[in-house]
Amino acid sequence: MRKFNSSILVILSVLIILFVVMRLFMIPPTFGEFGWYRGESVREIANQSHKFADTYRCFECHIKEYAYWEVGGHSTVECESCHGALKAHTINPEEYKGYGEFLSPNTYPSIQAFCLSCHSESTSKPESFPQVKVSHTKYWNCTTCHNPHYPEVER
Amino acid sequence: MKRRGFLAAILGVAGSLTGIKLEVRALTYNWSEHSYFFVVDVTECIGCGRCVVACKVENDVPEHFFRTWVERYIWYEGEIKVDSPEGGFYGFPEIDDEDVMKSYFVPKLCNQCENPPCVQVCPVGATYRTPDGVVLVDEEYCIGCRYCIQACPYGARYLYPLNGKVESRRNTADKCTFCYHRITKNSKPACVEVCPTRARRIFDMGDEKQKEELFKIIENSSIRVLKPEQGTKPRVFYIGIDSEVR
Repeated sequence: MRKFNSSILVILSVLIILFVVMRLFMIPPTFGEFGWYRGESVREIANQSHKFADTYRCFECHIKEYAYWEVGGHSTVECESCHGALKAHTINPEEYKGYGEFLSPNTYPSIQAFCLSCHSESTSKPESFPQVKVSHTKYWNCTTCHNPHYPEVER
Repeated sequence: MKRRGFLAAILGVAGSLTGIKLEVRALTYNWSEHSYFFVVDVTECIGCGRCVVACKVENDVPEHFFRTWVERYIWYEGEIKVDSPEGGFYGFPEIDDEDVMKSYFVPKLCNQCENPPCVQVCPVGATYRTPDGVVLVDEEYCIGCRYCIQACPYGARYLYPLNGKVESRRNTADKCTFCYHRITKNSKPACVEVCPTRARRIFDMGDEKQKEELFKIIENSSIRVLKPEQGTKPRVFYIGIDSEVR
């Protein structure tokens, strides 16, 4: 058998140990927990905070609005569709009123502009969707005749 | 013999140290019991852009970047035009054109492919597919090389800009997660929550009722996916789109 040069073996073993030690430090502990990725990141993403609440939470207090909304033509529209992200309001309703939320009427120049953000006439919209001409809203305020929670006009 | 023993010892230690531990820690949410599918009904979409706004608010998506956006397809005689002013954030201006043959809105989002090209190309294992069928990005591990952004055939990913609100996410790839933090806690994604016409819906195959509902939709309407020729097996189904929609 040929004789090995012992110094080569020493260098080789030092390199292997160095590699193993560096790998221990550089790979995060949860890598490979579920697969070829950092397991902790799944929990990080799953634990991000919510900004939108669930619709049923609203009706724990706003019962009057529910009575209208449930039977009207807007019952497919969830609360936060028109009132904005209000998770903070469900947690602390006294402190956080949330009037100026995105999507809420207060962020639009007028109530007409707010209603038209969905109901403006467009060739691209499905024909079954109720659409109004811009001229219809020129002289009237939508909420004079329509209750937004129960949009059908009763004569 | 001594040396050989020494070598064997080194190899043994190295093996035990580098061996990847595959223990599965129990999550309170058991993801093997869930599987998500998304249905977009373009015959219901009115292009109000509320989904785009809600997504931006919920996920801190910076201005001019989108996790979800709405496109408007307009058919003229002999040509198709597609527009999406600011992703549909402010809605769409009306087209004053008599020649329009047909037109509709197509909301777009990450297709959460079952065979995702973005996961395959990631050099560091920062993007992955969870067993419940959602493709996620590890913002801490992502090096911002943009491979996944160019690999996605749907353009669903973007690089989080340096002036973005979330500091840890800056200069990393970002994308729609089906609002993973919401669906794992039994809430609907933000875009589904705010859609006024229920054009966007999500179904959990782990729930018997939702599963039946999804099967009914597949049975009763013609379903298409975007770019089926890419072989990505998208989990976002579209109702009522033409083959020109890509």
